[in-house]
Amino acid sequence: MRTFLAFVRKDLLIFFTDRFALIFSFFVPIMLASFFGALTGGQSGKPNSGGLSIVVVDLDQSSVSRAIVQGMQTNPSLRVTLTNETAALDLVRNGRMAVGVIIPAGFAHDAPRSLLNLSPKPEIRVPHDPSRSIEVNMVRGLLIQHVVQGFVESTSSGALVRDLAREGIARARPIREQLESNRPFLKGLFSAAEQWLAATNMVQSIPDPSNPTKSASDLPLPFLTKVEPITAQPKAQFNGYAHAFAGMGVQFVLMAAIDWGIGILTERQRGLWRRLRSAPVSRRLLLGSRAVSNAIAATASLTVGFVFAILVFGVRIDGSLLGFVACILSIAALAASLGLLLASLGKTPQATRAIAIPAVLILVMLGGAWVPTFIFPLWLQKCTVLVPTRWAVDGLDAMTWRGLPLEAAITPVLVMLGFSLAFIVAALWRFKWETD
Amino acid sequence: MPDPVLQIQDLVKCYGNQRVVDRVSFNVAPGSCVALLGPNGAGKTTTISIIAGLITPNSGSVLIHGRTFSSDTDPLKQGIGLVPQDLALYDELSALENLRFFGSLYDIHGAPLREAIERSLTLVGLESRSHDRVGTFSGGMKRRLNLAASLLHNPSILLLDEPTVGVDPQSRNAIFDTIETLVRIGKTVLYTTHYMEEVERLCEQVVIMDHGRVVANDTLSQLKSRSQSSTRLRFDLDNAPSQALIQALSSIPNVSEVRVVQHQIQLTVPAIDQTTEIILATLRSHATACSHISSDRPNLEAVFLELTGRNLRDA
Repeated sequence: MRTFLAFVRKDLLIFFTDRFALIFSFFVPIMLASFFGALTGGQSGKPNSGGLSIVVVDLDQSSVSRAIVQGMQTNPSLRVTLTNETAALDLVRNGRMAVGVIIPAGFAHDAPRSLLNLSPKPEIRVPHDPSRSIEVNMVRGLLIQHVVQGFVESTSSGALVRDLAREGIARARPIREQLESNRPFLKGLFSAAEQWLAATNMVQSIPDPSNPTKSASDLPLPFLTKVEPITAQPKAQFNGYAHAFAGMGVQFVLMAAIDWGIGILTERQRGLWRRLRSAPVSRRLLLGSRAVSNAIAATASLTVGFVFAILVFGVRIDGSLLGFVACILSIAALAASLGLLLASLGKTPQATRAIAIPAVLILVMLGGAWVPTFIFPLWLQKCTVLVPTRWAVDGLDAMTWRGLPLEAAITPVLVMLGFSLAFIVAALWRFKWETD
Repeated sequence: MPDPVLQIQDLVKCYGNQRVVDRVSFNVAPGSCVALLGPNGAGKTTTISIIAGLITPNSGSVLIHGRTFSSDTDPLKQGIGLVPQDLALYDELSALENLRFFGSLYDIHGAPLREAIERSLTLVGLESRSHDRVGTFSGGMKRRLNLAASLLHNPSILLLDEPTVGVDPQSRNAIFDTIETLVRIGKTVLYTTHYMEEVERLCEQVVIMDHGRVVANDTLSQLKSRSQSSTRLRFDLDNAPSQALIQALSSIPNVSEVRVVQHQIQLTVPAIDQTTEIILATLRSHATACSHISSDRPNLEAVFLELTGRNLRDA
């Protein structure tokens, strides 16, 4: 028994002296659980307390449409931005807004009249980011609620009802006269129909218009919704694999960057750094060659991944090919510089791995590689613009399924290169050149 | 005496408040093998690192052929070959791939590189394993390859930092043979170790370091002769010595201690000189036959003990 306890004690001692094991066993689970808990509503139990961001265009400018917009603005599930049609379409096209709602001109006039066949049903356009179709249904449901509410609020005076009655009577008058002249014929027709239905036992299935249990969903809506997935080019089409390969590609080149950084630390630990530093080679060459080889490996990794996605899953680069290449290269630069940064900040390979892996996991999660960023709380969504992985994934999305032009790649590329530069400067500043 | 190829002058290196190298000075003559002897933590590796340009000293200078390194890429570095204490090799690559890479650091390419690799591998006896992954090598083979990697650019000065740590006696001998060959062909070797037997076999000059300081710098023979240590003579007798014999031996001038271990009698004397003859005469006069005589010679261990007050391995 003593021997058994000695083994247990020894194993626990080793475990508690291994910082890597400690961080992975205690810190990482707590961190990940906290992160996902926050995503799924936290203590309030309400996911995404910030509401869904939508852009609304009111081309009608009627009291009804204004009431609809106001209703949406006060809905806690929505965050409404009012703008014009062109801007709204741009915001959705660039992925900055998930869904748009465009209320057409004449909506307030046509919608109620359509119920009486006095007008065609007006069409509310719902442009949306093709990657976020789940949210479209939510917006459509809320839209019905707010349209009904808007009408109820704006027609309380009864003016609309009076207008509709007058219009209806005026239009029905010639029909009534026609019906009067055909009364005997119609009487005979209905009688024959009732006899036929009775003979075929179908009388009970005839719906009774006075039945109060009739569900609201059976009521006709006074408008149509036209759901439009929006991309920059007509041929561009959302492909979930494009986003998945972007996210996972970024994740794995950053994971590889950890290994590159640790590789330098291991070289230092194994005495290789002493041999390298004793040779007549410059510091620029020592670190530069490492960064370039890492960048080449990252470029190859991303390229192979996308070639596979293109060949097997039909992913297309619907945007700028040049922009796509620029994104890939800047992600590779980001990964290479991250490797150098880790090599300069890390003390031992084990300790560096323990810190770097959770950090990269957080980076890729915030970048939207694991779960879409719209699920994040509003404050977190705002924070993600400070995360280079967000720009990496956005840049690749823009150049693949969004079909955006080269200009859309410029900001993500510049942001990533900026981060790369910052990482390199920090790495050079902190790099421990001397080795004993 | 030829001009020294390596001049170490008043080197000081501090880490925080700790002085790990404290005013270290010594010279190394061309074609010589100099030992930097000292216990772990004496400052040997730091001194070697400063000489190789890996560490900048707080003060002092290192002159190689009368010059100091001006930059990381100074061609003077071509003349230095560092064999790090660790196995500075890529386990994932073959011996050949390792040597190709390390050779390219010194701008050796093509046929000259192939020749240098062949020459180095032959010197350390690994030519038949050149295509094998280093990860599959034994510790001794890795040590030999570690040495070969430092010879590719044909340096005139070799800095060997404990190159035999953790190797079997056979590989150790192979490394010694290689070093002796290198010294024979005119290389200058600075060899750090805490094994005195290595120093006694390989080096003619010894720099002893302790606590970051040079406590002795002389030739091996001078250090030994300078030692105040006594010599212990052992006489194996046919019979146990009588009390009268012990008293007679104790009364001999210069015999400072007499110990009896069963049939052996041990006498401490300053040196093996005429006293030995007097001891033998005393044994004869007491009708005591002696079957074997041996002595403990003065060695570096004793020198180190005398200089520092502690044993080299205990330090």
